[in-house]
Amino acid sequence: MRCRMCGQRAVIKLRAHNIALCAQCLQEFVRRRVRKAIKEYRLLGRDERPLVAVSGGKDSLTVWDLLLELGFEAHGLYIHLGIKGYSDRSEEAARRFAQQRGLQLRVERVSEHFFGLGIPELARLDRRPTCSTCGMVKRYLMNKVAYEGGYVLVTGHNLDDEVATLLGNVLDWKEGYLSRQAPRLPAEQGLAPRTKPLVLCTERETAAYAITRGIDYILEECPFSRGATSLFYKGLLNQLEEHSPGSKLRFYRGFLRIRHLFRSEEPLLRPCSSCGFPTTAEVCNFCRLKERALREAGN
Amino acid sequence: MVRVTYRERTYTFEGKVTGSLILKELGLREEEVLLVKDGQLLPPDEPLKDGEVKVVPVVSGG
Repeated sequence: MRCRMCGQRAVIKLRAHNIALCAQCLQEFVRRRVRKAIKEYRLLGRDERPLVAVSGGKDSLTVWDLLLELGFEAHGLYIHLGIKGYSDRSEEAARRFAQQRGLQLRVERVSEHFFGLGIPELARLDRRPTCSTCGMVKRYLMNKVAYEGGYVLVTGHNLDDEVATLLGNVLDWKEGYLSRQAPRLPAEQGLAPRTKPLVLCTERETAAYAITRGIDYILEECPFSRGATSLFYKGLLNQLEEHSPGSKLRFYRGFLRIRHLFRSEEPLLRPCSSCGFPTTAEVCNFCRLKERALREAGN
Repeated sequence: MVRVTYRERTYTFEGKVTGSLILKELGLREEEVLLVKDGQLLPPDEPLKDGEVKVVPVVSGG
């Protein structure tokens, strides 16, 4: 198998694009995909300051590496979730990546906002699924840091993540979610802009880029992600992809072309009476959880 | 002999082996894993004689 671009020994075949590539050309291919996404969907301007939300995994470290490669001065944000063992190991991967490259990494600890409690304890207090509480806490902290620092928040969501979300939204015809599922969400009062430069890259392409670039990412998955619906959807989509290469990309790009057809009433946002960040209620979920954590800590 | 590690389990293969064959034997889809040998990506069609191969899952999330 020979590289389509340079003729050297190829290390990977990308059936969706009908090409085989060597390690160097694969890296260039992924860079081009990201450049294309940034240009086509206006994901990031040269005058903007990216803040990459890093988990220590392949996607977030890859997107950080790619933005640096493309000339952006990107900083990192790691949120320590307080999940025994896993959070320490993923923090280590994020710190190692930043240190090796002399990059600025800010670390936020969930326990410092919630009187010593981590995500597993907060989910029990919240009486919600762990991933639901975790998502809410992470979104709040990521937005707070990005908004206050004047950053554009960058996440490592890739094509597979977006297509799995899309499938879930389509199966339930969640029009509101479909109208808001975009590669870039604009800034609003109290909300930092959010952008996803990896939307045109599959997980396999991202992982291959990370391996060939020598990025030392954490392979371990969050212990709470086992049995997640998104993983089931990804399995179905990969089965479809195997049968018909390029399906995921066609599904996603087709959706983006007709996304404007989905309209829903925007929820009315107002400042939280406690922290001032936007919410649909009097007090936002983050502050309500904080109150519960305070009561728990007092007991 | 080729030793293959996948999710903390080790498998051994003898005779004519390729990455594609390993994936087939383990019931894995090419879209969901990468094969790595000595820190380098391994093309699935390349014949393997011996050594250690790591099957790296690429699907993540929750």
